[in-house]
Amino acid sequence: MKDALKNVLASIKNKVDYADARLVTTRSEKILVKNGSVDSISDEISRGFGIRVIVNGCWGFSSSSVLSEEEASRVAGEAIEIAKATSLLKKWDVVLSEEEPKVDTYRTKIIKDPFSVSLDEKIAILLEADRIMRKNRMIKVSEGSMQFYRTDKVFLSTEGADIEQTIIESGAGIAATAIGDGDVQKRSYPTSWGDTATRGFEFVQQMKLVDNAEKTAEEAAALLKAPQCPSAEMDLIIGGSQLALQVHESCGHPTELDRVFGMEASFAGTSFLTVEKMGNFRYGSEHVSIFQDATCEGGLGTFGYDDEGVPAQRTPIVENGIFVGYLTSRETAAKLNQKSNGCMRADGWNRIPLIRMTNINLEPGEWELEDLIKDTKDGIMVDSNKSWSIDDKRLNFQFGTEIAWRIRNGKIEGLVKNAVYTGITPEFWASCDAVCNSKHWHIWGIPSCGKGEPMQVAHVAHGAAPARFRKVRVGV
Amino acid sequence: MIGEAKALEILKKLLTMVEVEQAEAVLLGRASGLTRFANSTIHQNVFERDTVILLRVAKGKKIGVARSNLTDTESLRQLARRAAQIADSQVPNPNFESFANSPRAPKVEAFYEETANCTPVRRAENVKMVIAEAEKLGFLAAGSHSTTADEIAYANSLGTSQYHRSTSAYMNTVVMSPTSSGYADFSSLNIADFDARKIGEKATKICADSQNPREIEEGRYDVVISPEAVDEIMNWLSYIGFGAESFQEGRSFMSGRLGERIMGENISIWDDGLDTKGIPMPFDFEGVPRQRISLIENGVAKNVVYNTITARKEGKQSTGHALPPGEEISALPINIFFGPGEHTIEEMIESLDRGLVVTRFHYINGLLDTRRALFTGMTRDGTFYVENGKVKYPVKNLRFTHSMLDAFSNVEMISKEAHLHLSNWYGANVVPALKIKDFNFSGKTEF
Repeated sequence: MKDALKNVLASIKNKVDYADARLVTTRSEKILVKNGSVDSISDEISRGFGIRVIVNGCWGFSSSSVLSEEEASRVAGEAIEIAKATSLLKKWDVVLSEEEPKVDTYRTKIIKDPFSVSLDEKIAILLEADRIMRKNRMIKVSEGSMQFYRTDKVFLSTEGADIEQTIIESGAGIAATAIGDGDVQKRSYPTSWGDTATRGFEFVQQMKLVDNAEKTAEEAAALLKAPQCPSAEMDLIIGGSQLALQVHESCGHPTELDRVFGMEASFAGTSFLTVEKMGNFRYGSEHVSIFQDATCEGGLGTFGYDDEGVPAQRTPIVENGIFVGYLTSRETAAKLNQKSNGCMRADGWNRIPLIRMTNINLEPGEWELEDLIKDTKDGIMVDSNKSWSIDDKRLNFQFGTEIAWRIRNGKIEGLVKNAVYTGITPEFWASCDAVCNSKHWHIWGIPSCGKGEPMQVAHVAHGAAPARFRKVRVGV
Repeated sequence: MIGEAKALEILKKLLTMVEVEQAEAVLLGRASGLTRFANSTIHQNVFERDTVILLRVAKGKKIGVARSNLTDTESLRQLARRAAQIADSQVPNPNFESFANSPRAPKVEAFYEETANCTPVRRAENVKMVIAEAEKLGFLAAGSHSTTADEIAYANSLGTSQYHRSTSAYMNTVVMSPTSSGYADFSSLNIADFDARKIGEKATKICADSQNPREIEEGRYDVVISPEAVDEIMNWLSYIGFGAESFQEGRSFMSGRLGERIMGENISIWDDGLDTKGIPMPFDFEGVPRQRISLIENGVAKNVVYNTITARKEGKQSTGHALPPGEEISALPINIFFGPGEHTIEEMIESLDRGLVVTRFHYINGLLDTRRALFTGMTRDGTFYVENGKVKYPVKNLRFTHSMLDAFSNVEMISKEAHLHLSNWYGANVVPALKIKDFNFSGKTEF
């Protein structure tokens, strides 16, 4: 089929300003275990191709799951007709930033192919973790999941790009829900959306789900009896997995340059980080440095090339508190006279690429977590996300967490439940006075980032270590 | 679109390849065009067509599921083998008895050729009308306009077979000035129902009226929330509470409360997959005909919805609300209707002594406390302060944090006008505007 797509691109080269084709096959396997039984095992294959064209300065895209040169030719013609319809309302020509077309291959480095591991071995781990969680009498719902993805994709363009990639992803997690006296408390491991990485089955084995099942259940049960989190302005230590989501919502999304240019305005919204702020706006304190890095090994947002054929890169977003760069595509980068930093990805063969987060990482600081707690007089420490909400310019946010600990005079006093904190993005990041060191730093994979119409789900990640924020509004 | 005869032929051929006690197969076909616009020009314009087959097999009580969009004979054989292999690795599900032996679901006419054959040129013409309305006042328009043809076919080894096809057309727009924005959307089975100029006019007026918003203090206000805002709430209420799973596990606001009044007497909510005022689908993903289910009746918690397995746990029959196998949730209502009232939205606003009018909510999250249905979210695209029945001025956006059980116990007026809003998956909600007393706004933002 790759040759067929090459032939079709060659045949339309004189009719278009630009065209690319992506041939994608995705296989996924998902296992859900619940309350001692296997709730579902599913296996999915999706294969097809999409052709994206610029004609008369306007975009068109069509796609099909029927793999033949005849169908590819028809789909290319359809994409051209769609581009012509786009041009009925043209205000300016689409211009792409320069990019040297690459001919290359890339494959995720893994030790153990997750699709070569038997279902029995995977199920056994989940059932054992589930059994241990259910030993705790307060646990009414025990859950575990594993998911594995293999994506084979070919990218071809009329500029001469020819890139083949194989991306393999593995993920898992467990959760225990305690219910009693009209209250419901859930605790999960390693965090509320599990953890997923561009790694093999070894990643799941290293999670030690079984070893952590008892503690997960105990914490859920303990939360039922824990006092309510107080409502006050206080110091807040945010654990790595919750901070990952904070980075995702309040730094990742607002730095997507398509949002900044209004291209997502009617759905997810726009961004407070408008272009005149680049290079001079204080996004956070001097302790805050954030990079987009699609090259770091194992991150869920790691790949060889994005879906425009741009190489994976590491570029600064926030340096020592100053906002310095966006996540870009060839179209949006050109508007800033930049080159793309390779953030365009599509959710399968039937979607166009959009600007998506890669691994958006908060750089580690110097602190030991123990010292940070000792240094905190009156505060709480929170981790594992329970609820999330942020306004359509990414300023006012509210997050709820599964678990929280009250800190007084440098000591953890005990659990508190239903912790919620809220703030305004730049004020909040300006209040960050400490970030823990690389020993506490982990890249958290988020396999469920939604964006665009039709909705596309991206797999992204965020490196983070626990950090402290001063005088944050806690509680509703 | 494959059509009924060919779709059922593929499924029946697949079922012959499966050497197990029972099997069921679902075919989902979709052809969809979508035109997105921003900054008053089209920036994304796409088309997709796909046919996906889901196969679920049962070896005794061991169930395997496989899914593929490859429909040639060899791929179907592989699909059958894969599902059987998965079943071999399964543990028995004690709540599985059998796939459904269901009668043919009633035919519902929901397919319009005009929608199915809509061209990108026609969508562009509609978008042009929206942009023209925005540009009359020097504003910019963004939004999306889609036209979709869907088909679903079902067959199982017990002889059940079903087929349904439908179309849907949808448009939303956010019209923006330097200091404000306004929103409107429209959904229908038939593209012929569209009046794009009217959609653009509505969003443009809200944008114009909400320019230069003033800051307002957080706190409790009586509010009139538009049907578009109610739609967002209903999606979350359904997700956390109206399905059997969360109900049985004790996580739902309905758990242990059937027969109890949990909302105001004026609140009735039901699901009806046959009503063409919504986007109907007469059977579910297990081939079971959808029943009309009363969820909340005059404020009383009446029922949740079931698939075959959750129903069996309570010794009940499926209500015909199964989602596809392998989903996180097994049963949900996807054709929700909220009982309308007797008032116009204008009358509801005029009745406010001191309160707010909300055009739309953004990024609602309903996981704070699912037993209380404690939600948070932001207002967006036009929020207005009202005094003595008159809109005084636009206000900057606010965050609410409030129990929806409390909110729906404090509904003072309901609009007679109901709004259809297409889901971004299958189905739709048909909901009115609500006037709610003492709605809690817990925070504010800068615009």
